[in-house]
Amino acid sequence: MNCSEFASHVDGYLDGRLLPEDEKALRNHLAECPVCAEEAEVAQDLRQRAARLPRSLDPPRDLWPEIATRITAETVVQGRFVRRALMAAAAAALVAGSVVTAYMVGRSQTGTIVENRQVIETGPSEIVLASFQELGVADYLVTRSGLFGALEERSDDLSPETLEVLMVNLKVIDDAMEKIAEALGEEPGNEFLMKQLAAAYRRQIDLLETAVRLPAEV
Amino acid sequence: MRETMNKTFTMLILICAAAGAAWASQPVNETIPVTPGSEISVENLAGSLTFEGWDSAMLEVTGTLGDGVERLDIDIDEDGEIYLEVEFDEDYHGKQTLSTDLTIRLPAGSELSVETVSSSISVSGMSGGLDLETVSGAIQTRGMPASLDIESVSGSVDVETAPSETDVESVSGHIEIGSVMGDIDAANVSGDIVINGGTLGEASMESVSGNITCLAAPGPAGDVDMETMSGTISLVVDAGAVATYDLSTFSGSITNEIGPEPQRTSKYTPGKELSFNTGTGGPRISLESFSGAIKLMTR
Repeated sequence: MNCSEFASHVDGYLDGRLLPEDEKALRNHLAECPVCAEEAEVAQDLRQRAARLPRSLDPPRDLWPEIATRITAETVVQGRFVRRALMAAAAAALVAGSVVTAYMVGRSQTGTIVENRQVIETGPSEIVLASFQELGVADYLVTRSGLFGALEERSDDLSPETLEVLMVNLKVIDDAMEKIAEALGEEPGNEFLMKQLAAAYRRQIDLLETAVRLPAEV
Repeated sequence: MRETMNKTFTMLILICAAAGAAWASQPVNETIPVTPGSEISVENLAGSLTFEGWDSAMLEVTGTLGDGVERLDIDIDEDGEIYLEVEFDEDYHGKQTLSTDLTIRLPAGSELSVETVSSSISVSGMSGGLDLETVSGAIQTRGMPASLDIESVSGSVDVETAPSETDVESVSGHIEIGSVMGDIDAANVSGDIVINGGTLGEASMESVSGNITCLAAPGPAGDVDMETMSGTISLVVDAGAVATYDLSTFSGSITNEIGPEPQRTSKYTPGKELSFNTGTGGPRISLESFSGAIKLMTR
């Protein structure tokens, strides 16, 4: 098996769908070719990371009964946002900043992506993170960072045009989250705003998951 | 990529094209018998694939392979599943063309699965299920298959009739459906979703910046959910239709031709909501956006 044949068989190999003789040939090639061996390792790692993504975060609609209960119980009080914002700020800078800065490396030549890199590099603001705490989504940053990391792994497979679409639309959602969170800062516990934030959250996770699953273009 | 097949019952047809030489437009003309209702999988990188369902129990492949193509593999496993794959020349260079144009006639009741990169996919006359995937190729279906599952990245999607349980997804491709016949999931990122008619069952349509326009009538029982971040949502319904409506937007506008005016959700923050019904029962219709306009109109 050569490198070209490896490329066409790697998906089947990772899925365990190869015929025994094909798998043997592929393993023999991996033993001889460090480039393909590394590619297989990266692909396997990506799949495992994707499999570990917290699926329970997919349907934020499911969060709503709990959110509604919390609102009804009048546990949301003004001031929490500020305190939690301070606590969350350091994590935001560390995690989101490092992951997505790495993601953008090598792609800064694309104009629109550069324009939208700010939101990716800086990550969500403290007020957004605090708002997610109020929603009961304690691991938003971890989920977001994990998905951006998975997207980074796929970045060489996607065309600049597709990456641009993804970045532009991720920014649309990030901007929306900022505005909703700011409004929540003004009026904590507003049911409508919390629903809007939950919807934006779900759209962002859906978009990132879709991006990670996209077929290779390049 | 398809990998699994039983080699003990594999027929392999190799149609060799240029192996380093410049044979332009290598012709293809193959016919093989197939089991009715069998699964047929086809893969192509560039060019066009045209599928035509027919009454014959034969699979016919005609067309041309690009000169950068090494061969067309046609494999059949012991279950009768058929795999067609365009294999490209390992020594392909930029002066060769990869564009392969094939017309494939197959039993109408077959289950068809197609994967392409830039190759277009056109399907007509099929009554079996369709699973179509492309990166940038245009997808067009005519007639009504048993089921429909479409994924594209930037390729446009043009569906004449969407059967119940249709699933259509794209990133930036324009999705247009002539008529819906039941349950549907449609998702896009920046591309628009347009549904021109039919009757909705359980329906979910989502986009980030793309617009959603739906002229299909909500059915009596199914719920309809439409969501965007910045795209406009337009739903056209019959004036007398009974339904329960929930509309909400953070900073967009709400236009409502069949009910009351929307209300601000707070005097301190933006946001408009509108909930009302036009009778007892009927579907629940939820239209939700962040900054996009929401238009609920009558025919």
